[in-house]
Amino acid sequence: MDDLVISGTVALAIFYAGLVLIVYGIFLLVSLIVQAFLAGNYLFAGAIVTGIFVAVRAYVAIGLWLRKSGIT
Amino acid sequence: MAHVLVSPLNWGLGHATRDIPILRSLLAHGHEVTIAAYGSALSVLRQEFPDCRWIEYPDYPIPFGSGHLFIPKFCATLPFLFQATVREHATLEAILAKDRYDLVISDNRLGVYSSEVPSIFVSHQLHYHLPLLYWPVECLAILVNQNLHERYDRIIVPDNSPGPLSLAGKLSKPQTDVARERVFFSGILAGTRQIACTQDLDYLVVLSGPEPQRTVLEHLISQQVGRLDGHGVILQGNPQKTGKAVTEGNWTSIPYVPTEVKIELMNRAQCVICRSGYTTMMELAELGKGRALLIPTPGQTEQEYLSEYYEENGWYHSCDQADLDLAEDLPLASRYRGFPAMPKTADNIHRLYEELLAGYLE
Repeated sequence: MDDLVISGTVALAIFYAGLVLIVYGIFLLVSLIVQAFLAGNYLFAGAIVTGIFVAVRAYVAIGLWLRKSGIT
Repeated sequence: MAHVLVSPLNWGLGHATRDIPILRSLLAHGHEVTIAAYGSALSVLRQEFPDCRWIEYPDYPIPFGSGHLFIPKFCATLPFLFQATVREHATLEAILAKDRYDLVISDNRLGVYSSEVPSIFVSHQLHYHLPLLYWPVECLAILVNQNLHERYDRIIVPDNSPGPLSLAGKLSKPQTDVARERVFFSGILAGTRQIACTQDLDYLVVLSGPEPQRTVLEHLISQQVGRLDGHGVILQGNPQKTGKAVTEGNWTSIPYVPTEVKIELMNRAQCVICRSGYTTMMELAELGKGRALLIPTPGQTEQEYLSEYYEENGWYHSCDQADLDLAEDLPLASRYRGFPAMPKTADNIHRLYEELLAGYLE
């Protein structure tokens, strides 16, 4: 098989696997928050929301660092 | 005499027009050139080089939408683009099997390379700039780019070396060893040149880039030019459209003009209103235009980056298409100083031929 086909397919697979993981992660977290709220476990729901907040900040911080360091 | 296949991408006219100096140089040195392109890119090059052989060589559709949905749409069309690239590569093998070629020059066509014939890639984008939130995709693109660059013998970057004279900023900075080993910074390559004439044209609007945004901008500008003092010309940048120039008041709209006429109009213009497409920027640099208003194509991250980069450097003012108000933006544009002085195309193309192309052709 042509090298272009192999490397392109691998790159696309990684890219779409990443997208699927992100969507699944969002779905999982939303489900957990809803379940925790319905069960009256507000502390757990709050902990997840805080975790999301920290993760988003870390994500943005990494992006900023990559830009500042000239990698992206 | 060598035989060269030149194949520009048909995403707007920029790739085709920046190849004009390369084609002229190859022909001037007595080489045979076959143009392999599609759509408007092919039309432009056939008009410029009627004696060259040409092949209709389809590329891939442009994944630009009418709104700010470039990235999601681009992601969704990636498998189709990939499939088209594989098909493009297979077509090239068939083209090369039919005739003898000594060199393949691909202007941003990712499937146009050969393991049999030396292949050169022309691109000002060694790095794809995306909005901050897409940094993982940008990292993945670095690896993908490395893989693509490996297929070429050399990469011609039509920009000055990274530094204060770089027109493409971080886009043209090589990030991998693969790119660093292959890159040749040719300096700007523009189809225009400075001519001695009076700057008697107040405004020149140069419309370019992919549809449907080209038409959207054309409508926006047509609605506003009547409110401006002075007279101007709108180049619609549509080589496939038939029709003559239409004059309304002080403004004339022309579907498409040959390069020579465009060169004359650009030289005569006191102010140029245009997209921040890289080829148009090289033309401004070539002509030493100090006054221009840039309107990046919405959602096209490369043009948005270039606009910001020029604004930060104090070179040109730019405004979003959605907020365009010529009466307000043009006075602001006159406060900027334009690109710094830099080596021009004539010197650059001479150096490019002697230091790079001649090695494959003579």
